[in-house]
Amino acid sequence: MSKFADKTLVEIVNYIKDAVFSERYATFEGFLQRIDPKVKFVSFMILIVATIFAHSVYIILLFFSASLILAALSRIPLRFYIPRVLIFIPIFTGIVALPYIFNIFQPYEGTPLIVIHDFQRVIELPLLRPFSRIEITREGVFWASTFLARVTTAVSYAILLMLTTRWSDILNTLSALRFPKIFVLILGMAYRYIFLLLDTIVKMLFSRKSRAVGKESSVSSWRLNAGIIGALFLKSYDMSGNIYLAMLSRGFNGDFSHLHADSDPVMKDYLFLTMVIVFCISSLVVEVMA
Amino acid sequence: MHIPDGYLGPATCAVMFAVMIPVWYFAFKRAGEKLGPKEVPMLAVLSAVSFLVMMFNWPVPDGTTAHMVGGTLIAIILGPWAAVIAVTVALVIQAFFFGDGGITALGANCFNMAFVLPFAGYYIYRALEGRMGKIASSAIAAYIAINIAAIFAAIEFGVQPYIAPGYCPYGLNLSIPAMSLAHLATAGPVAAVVTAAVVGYLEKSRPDLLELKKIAPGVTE
Repeated sequence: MSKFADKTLVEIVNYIKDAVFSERYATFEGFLQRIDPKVKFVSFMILIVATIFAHSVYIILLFFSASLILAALSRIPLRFYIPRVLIFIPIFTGIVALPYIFNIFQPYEGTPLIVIHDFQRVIELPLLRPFSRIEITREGVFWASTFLARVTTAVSYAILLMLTTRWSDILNTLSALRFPKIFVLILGMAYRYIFLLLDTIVKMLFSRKSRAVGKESSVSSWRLNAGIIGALFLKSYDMSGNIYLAMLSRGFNGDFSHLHADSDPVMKDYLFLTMVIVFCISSLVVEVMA
Repeated sequence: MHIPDGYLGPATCAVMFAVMIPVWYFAFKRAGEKLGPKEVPMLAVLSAVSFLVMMFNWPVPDGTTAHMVGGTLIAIILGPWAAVIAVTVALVIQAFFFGDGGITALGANCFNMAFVLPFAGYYIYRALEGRMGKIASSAIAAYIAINIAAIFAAIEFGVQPYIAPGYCPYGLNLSIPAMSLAHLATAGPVAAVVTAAVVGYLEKSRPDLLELKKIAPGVTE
């Protein structure tokens, strides 16, 4: 494994740990942290669905501004929140959207903005429309930016929900909303395992690295990596057996209860939900009218 | 293969959720009947494993992303209904914590990766197992299953230009080749090698794990 791969792996692991397991902001005394988790969950689902319905870039920006305002009210520093939202957007969505700015991937002739290359003759390629120039079109840029804005906004709401809510409250909410008990149980346990498995992987890779001298062939590295994945799997399996015994010895009977007592939503929670619904409906109505 | 929010029109999202609800219902029902409390931690571990292998993904222009899912592996060990649950849990965590795969597209993503993929992988493996041994059949099953799932994903967003303008702009003529190429050439081989490697390792060191009770249709006892 190259130095680069080593370094990125450790960074990825640290990033995942930070993203998934940080409950730093969930314990702040901010606006969203004080909203009842059940009401907050439902409100955010409504916001995300409404975002998906929006077509106009202005309405999408309105939704995005609302998420920034909510983050600021919840005392989440924007210089932390915005990069956290944007970090994966270019990789997962940007590259997918990028080709569409070029005329050759569009179904109709668009208005050219920049001509990149003029072939002076018609070129026919399989799957694509015949074309004679490669150009960036206005329609393409418009679609790509609308799409990116929409994805960014939806992701910003999902991340804001997770940042301002403790994981145990999310699990409570899911059981209160009648998700299957076994689903909530497995979700809760899988979340803990991810952390443990990440640590195990890093330890295994380092211990192998510290015993290796010189360059290794790719065949032997594949073989070793296969062994690592296999061993990881076995380790996890044995661990799951031990965990089962540990749970059993503490009185696990297939049911589970939570540490935090379930509280009921109060007036201000319903007020928040009403505001969210009014905001979503009026934005979408404005879009249809305009 | 994670379809992001805003790539599928609202109607498609709703239809995919409607398709997945009975699948989830049966998966949890079967799991509730067949799983002893001992298998619950096992399923949670497998979800975590699936989550980790899906983190290593790379984007596909004109498509979405390519990565292995681990669904075939889980289906081989615990049966396809167990894989439905494990992969669904992994996808839920990814959608909420990373924005990888949309929340509104969760129905579609679960259909492709948590339903089509493990069932395809499981039945291909079962069909080949007797003839060519566990390792080769698990590799072939993982390879074919991930490609079938990728084509389903490509069809779902490739039909958007015809039914929901303003969402995914690439028609089937671009989406299917882009997704197929990426999965035939990259994610498919990775899935085949990793699945076969783990099955090989288990066959050598813990063969009992390949003979566990499966949660599969038609398997009684």
